[in-house]
Amino acid sequence: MNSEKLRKITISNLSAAYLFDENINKFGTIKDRRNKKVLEDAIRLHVDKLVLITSGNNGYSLSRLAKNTTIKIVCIVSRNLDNETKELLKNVSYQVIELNLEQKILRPEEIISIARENDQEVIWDVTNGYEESYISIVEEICRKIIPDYIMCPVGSGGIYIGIIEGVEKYCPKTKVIGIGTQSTYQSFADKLSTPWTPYARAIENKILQGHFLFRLSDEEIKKTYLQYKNIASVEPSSSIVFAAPSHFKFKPSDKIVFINSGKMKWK
Amino acid sequence: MESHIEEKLINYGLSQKEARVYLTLLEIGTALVTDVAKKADINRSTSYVVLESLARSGLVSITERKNIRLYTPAPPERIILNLENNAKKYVELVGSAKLILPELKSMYSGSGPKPKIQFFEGIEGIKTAYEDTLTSKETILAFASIESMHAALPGFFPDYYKRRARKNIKIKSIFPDTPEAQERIKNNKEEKREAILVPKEKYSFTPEINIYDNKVVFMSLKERFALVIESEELADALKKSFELAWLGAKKYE
Repeated sequence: MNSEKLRKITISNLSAAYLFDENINKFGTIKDRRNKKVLEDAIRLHVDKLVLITSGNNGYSLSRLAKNTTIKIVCIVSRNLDNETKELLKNVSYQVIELNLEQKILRPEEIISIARENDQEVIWDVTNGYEESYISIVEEICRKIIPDYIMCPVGSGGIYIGIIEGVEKYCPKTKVIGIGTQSTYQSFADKLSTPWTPYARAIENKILQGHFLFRLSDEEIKKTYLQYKNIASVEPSSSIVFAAPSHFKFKPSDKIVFINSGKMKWK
Repeated sequence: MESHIEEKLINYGLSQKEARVYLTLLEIGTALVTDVAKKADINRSTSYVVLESLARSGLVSITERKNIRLYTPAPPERIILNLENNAKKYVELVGSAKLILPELKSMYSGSGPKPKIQFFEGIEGIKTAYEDTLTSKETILAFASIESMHAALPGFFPDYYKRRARKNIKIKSIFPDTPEAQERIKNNKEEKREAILVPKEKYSFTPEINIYDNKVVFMSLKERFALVIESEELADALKKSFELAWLGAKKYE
């Protein structure tokens, strides 16, 4: 696999398409960026435990990054999560708690109380937040090229908002195209379907400001994955970005960057 | 010394009266409210309220003997414990604030137009600001010094003027009256410029200020930075200020 972070790729009829590959990150995903910042803050402020709802990548990345610290990582996962991912998370985190996540949207206080073992623990829910960690992606891209469009996956929307914040800072004329799922639960792009997000209003505002968001059916997500699964180390939730040319009419001269949000590195 | 300690206790979150009452109680040990009030020089009813408050934070314990309430100070280590508990509470609050940040940001973005400020450094930064003026949908209003512009960005300007003219973006400029400015304004027609020269002895300046659309651009050509402010309100006010200056400058035409 090519180890260059930003590299040219051949896709559709686009003459200037690039891949920004977050799979190259230490634990394989874009989430490494935010989790590094989460841990820095938690260590600085002597937090005892971090808890998050995860479908795999985020919990895995955070647990691996926290391996040599005293901070305990608790992963709350859906009972329907595949056993392989559950086992993997159990191997790397302090605790994995399985819940029926489709039945209830958990508030941060509830998430913290689920993870609490005693009154003395200082616990943070880090399911959301830290979207500013993704601003550096745009800075890194702009060091090489100033793109016309950046494509990124949209789950809760933290990455989308973070990338747009980066664009506002480093290349204000660039537009961000987010690709998400139509389904809010158990999509084929399992890392992206979410019943609730604190970013809903921010996403609406960014679209009003001229950025774009497309939501795909499971059928289209599967088709896209099958077509592009070998373009880089991707999973359905990351390959979703390659569906953008089917929804948006690019000009042949447009410089387009597809962000590969990556997938867990298992070892 | 005592007032120094009292100050410290206030820093730790006690009120001035709480600090004084706690220190008093440390000195006299278990006591009645009247004894504390007398020694601390605080009236009895206030002392009672303060002692009850100290009891709630664990710094004082209360016992009753024959219906008389006696107050005993908790060991000073309790202050450390309280501070540690507060520290934990605040660290948890930091985590919780991080979580509501996305929602707060959403509300902030949705609160209507807000000024956007971009800061550009160096020669390339100034060029970026000049390039932005080429997006103008109306006549640019400018305070500019031709020699400062040309000295800061050699080779940039003849081309910039041509590109602006090709885009049919007109400009109204007030220049200090210098030989370079006199030479430049000979091209006013081709460069779609209307200009007034003002006496350099009285009105010499080096930065450039451009006002167009909803933008105000300040370019410091000596200190080498540019500031692009997007604000309807500021742009409107500065457009009016420019028109006033233009009227005043007309007498030098």
